[in-house]
Amino acid sequence: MKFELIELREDRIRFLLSGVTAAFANGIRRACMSEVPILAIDQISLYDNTSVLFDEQIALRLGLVPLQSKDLDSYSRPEDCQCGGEGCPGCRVDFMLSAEGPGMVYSKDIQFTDPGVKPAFDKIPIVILGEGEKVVIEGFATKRVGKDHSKWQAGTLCGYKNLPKIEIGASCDGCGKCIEVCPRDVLALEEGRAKATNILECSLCKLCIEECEAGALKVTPVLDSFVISIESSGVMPVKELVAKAAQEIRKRAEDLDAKLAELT
Amino acid sequence: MAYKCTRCKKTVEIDYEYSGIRCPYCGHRILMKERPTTVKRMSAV
Repeated sequence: MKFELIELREDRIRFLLSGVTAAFANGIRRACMSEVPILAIDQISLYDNTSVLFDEQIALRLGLVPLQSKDLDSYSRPEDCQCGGEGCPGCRVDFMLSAEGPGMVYSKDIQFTDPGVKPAFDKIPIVILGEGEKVVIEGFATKRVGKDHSKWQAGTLCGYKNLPKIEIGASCDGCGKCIEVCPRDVLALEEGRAKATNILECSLCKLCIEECEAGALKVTPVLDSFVISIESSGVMPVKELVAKAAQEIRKRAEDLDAKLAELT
Repeated sequence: MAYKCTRCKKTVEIDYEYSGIRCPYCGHRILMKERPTTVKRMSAV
């Protein structure tokens, strides 16, 4: 397996993985989306809500707020917790949201008992309160995976594609039609001939082949190379997210290994 | 069932069979159902 980094930002990574099967690339994608456990608000208790939104609507909006945690590993998933899923400080983070109008209630107003836990973005609007309107909400966040509900999804936009391969034959006359038609500016004219200068952007649409009268172009996917792009919801740096996804896959493989060892 | 009249702001008991939906104090026909004082628990989904 060969890894080559294309782009790395706080919330987004793009890399080239060669020498792997599509199943493996898809495994990484799926693990990023549904196997990395994160914190999200799980249950709430409403003491008062005189705002314009229904209780259920506020509950949904609170649940979808992405939560950052300084020490995520210190929390366990409720089913793996020593309390047996009843709820204890080891698997829960309590919060309190109390606000009175007029004004907008933002995600930053949610006060967690653990100072290491906070919303990933401060300015997520929860509800707008008019004069004299009030919300008083208490509840807790738990650590689960994206499979349970999309609010626990750490990776948001995750996808991959085959690395394209563009071959330009000797019959290319440099007419430039393929360059004009390409929607992603993959091709450029160099020394009187078309040349693929921006190959990672190619989406294999094959418009250039249709346009090429000389039939000089050949666009094929490289079957064992993948351009993988992963975007994090903001709960953790994307580098950490991909690493955790890979660890989850490893954990499963090791589990299987242990089970097979028991058989003999 | 206790309601609150939107005009005289009094808490009123409604006898559905006899009076219909009408405030017995001021005769207003718009009544509000007050939020129960109990704590409401729900999943954040």
